[in-house]
Amino acid sequence: METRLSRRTLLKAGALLAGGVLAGCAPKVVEVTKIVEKPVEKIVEKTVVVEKEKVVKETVVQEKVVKETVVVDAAAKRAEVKGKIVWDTFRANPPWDKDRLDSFKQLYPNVEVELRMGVADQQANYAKWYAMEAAGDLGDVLQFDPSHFHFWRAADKNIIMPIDDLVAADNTDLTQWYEQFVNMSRYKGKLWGLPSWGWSGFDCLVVNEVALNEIGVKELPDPQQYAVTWDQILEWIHKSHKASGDKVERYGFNWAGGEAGFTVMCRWFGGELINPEGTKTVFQDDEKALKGLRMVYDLVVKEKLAPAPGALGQGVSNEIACAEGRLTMYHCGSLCAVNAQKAVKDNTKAKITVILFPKREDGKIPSQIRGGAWQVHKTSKYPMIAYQFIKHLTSKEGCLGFNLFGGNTALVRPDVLPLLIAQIPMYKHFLNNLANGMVIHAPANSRGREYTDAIAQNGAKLMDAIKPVPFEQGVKEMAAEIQKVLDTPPA
Amino acid sequence: MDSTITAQIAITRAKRRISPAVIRENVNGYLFLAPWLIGFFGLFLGPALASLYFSFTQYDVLSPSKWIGVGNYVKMFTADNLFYTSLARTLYFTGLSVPLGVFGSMVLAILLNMKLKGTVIYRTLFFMPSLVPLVSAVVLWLWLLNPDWGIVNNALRYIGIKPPAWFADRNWALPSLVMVGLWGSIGGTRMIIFLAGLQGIPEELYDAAAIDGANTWNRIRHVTIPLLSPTIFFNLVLAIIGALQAFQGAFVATEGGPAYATWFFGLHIYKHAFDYWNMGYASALAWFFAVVIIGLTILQQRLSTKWVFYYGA
Repeated sequence: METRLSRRTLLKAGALLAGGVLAGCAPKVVEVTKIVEKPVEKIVEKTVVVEKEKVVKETVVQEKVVKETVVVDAAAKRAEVKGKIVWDTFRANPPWDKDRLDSFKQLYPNVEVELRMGVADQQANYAKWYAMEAAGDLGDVLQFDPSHFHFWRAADKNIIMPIDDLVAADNTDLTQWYEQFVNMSRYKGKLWGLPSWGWSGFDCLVVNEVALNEIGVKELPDPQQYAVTWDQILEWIHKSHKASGDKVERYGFNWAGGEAGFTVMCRWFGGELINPEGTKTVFQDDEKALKGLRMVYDLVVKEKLAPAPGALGQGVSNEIACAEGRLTMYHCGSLCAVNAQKAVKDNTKAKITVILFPKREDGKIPSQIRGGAWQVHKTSKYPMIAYQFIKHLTSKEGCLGFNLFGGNTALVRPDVLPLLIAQIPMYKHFLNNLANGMVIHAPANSRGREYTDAIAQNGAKLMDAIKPVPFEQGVKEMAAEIQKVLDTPPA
Repeated sequence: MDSTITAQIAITRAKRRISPAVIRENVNGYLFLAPWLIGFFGLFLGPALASLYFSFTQYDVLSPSKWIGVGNYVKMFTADNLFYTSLARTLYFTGLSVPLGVFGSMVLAILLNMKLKGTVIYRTLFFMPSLVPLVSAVVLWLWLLNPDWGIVNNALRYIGIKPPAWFADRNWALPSLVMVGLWGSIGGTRMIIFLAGLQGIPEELYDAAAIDGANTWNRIRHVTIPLLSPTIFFNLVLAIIGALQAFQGAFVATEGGPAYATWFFGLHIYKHAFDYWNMGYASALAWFFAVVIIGLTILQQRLSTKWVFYYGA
């Protein structure tokens, strides 16, 4: 039997369906609004009662009521905020990211935050973001990290906005983060973001204590005393290196290639790789900088106490080699120290500790703070909402979760450190360096990627133990190549 | 005269009138062609022409492009020393990998064309490495060629040879990439094409050569190679183009290092385009290289008249 459907019936059914869908979507919002509104009425009434009766018997009680009123007023104000922002990020950090979204929703019930995951590879993700920016599709909350040299380009290209006005309007206390991590986001006299991840970078030698015990070093001094001297370090590297013929059983040392590694080598004795303005290479004419480079050159090229690139094995990092007892010590920072500790599988082969680099004559700690930052898109329709969201991401709870559940190393807030140290005691060694570490010097022309490539490739040539080049020649060539990048017109 | 004109007009009108069936057939035809046409114009020709325009501009993707004429082309010859470095590395790679690869595939095909027992198994075994993606092959070989404890160096040490550091050595990194490439390509499609070419050579030519007293070497030299020359030419052209575009191996294994030892032209283009965001300059590099490849292909085509023999042509 065939049932004919009239046009009127069809329209009715359509209307009913649409109404049903709308009705199904709507109640959530209404419910949330009600929940927020109710306590407001309740507490306001309470306050009125207190004032009318004037029975302020106990000051404590009055204070409590006033505080509650303020909180509720703020909550009421937040409930009035409406808008939608997009959070673009490149790494899934479950369950941290979901927790941040849910908890922000509780604070701002009428704000919608859309999370968009990019690609896990950070550099590939930046390529995608630039393309999205060109297409006008980049989100409101972003992460152009200074330590990956994308921050300055993003600022120069008007992708991100300075947040000084937002900080002032919100009356944000910037001292809740370590000053150096906040300073990483300062550029052209403005602040462009709040710290995301961060660690004290390339400020230590990650050490396998078992290897040192074997050569008679019974106990290392407390790292926080900066008591180990360079002479001791060199002696331990030499003594702990174990080789027979071509076969190396344990390397005494491994150096850190790349921009941060070379920068800190130059800083060990008081020099710099480039000037703070980011316009000139200075290391080639500075004996203090050359002293550090020459020391590594001798260890790597002349004495061959470090592995050739890849010699540890494909995918075998310094952390793993150190944890397996195949490497006594290597140049890195707090992140690597903790990773090496996690990589130890056999306590008889490795026990990880650190030697913080001896302080320089000027009292500074040779280091280069590593870190990222959350930023707000320049053309965000809701900059204050986006700002509140990045503040929420890097709040005490946000930062703690970013470490514990998101799997990142975000040592950017003094107030989370005690909690993290309770879990990973190794972090306590770095407290002073986190507060007083040295910041990065970036190329003034925002050509950070060319800069890092020039250092990595020419640095590899300088420290090439297989086909050595004379130290002076390697330094000269490296300086010339880096200077070429610094002389390139702005990106 | 008039009747002739009238007849012609009638024919023309009849020709113009296209039946609905023909129209439908044409529409269907174009619909089937549409994916390819959209792909060709939208994803290939469009971007290619856009990149030609960008090659004359300063363009970083984030700002509007700025016309600078031949500035990028001048820059590559005068102010970019990595241009010459990358060009030299690429030509060295091509010069090493193409003759070894084409000759190796041909020899292997000749051997596998002999009607011996188990040939099919050998063909399969030799073909298998070509099924491994290059990236995986590179990672595998990084393990095998590990300077300290890789199986290759351990074997070399065992027989008393001081082994090189392979990818870690500035002089050996590029030959190492050639080696990995050959492992994957010698027994691959190139060998299959050679086999097909070999099987197209008429048996009677070999018989005639045998009757004339030609030994195996002479038969290969005077029958196989001349008759295989169109196949050699085809494989040579493709191999040169492929080698000039070398990128993946260096990108995965060495990132262009150590000390620019494997900084291929393809990597140089990639770096400028997607890492340094000099998209205009990268476009110019790409167009320069396209011209080089086209030029080399035309040159090979011209030279082929001197050595390629088309049987029966």
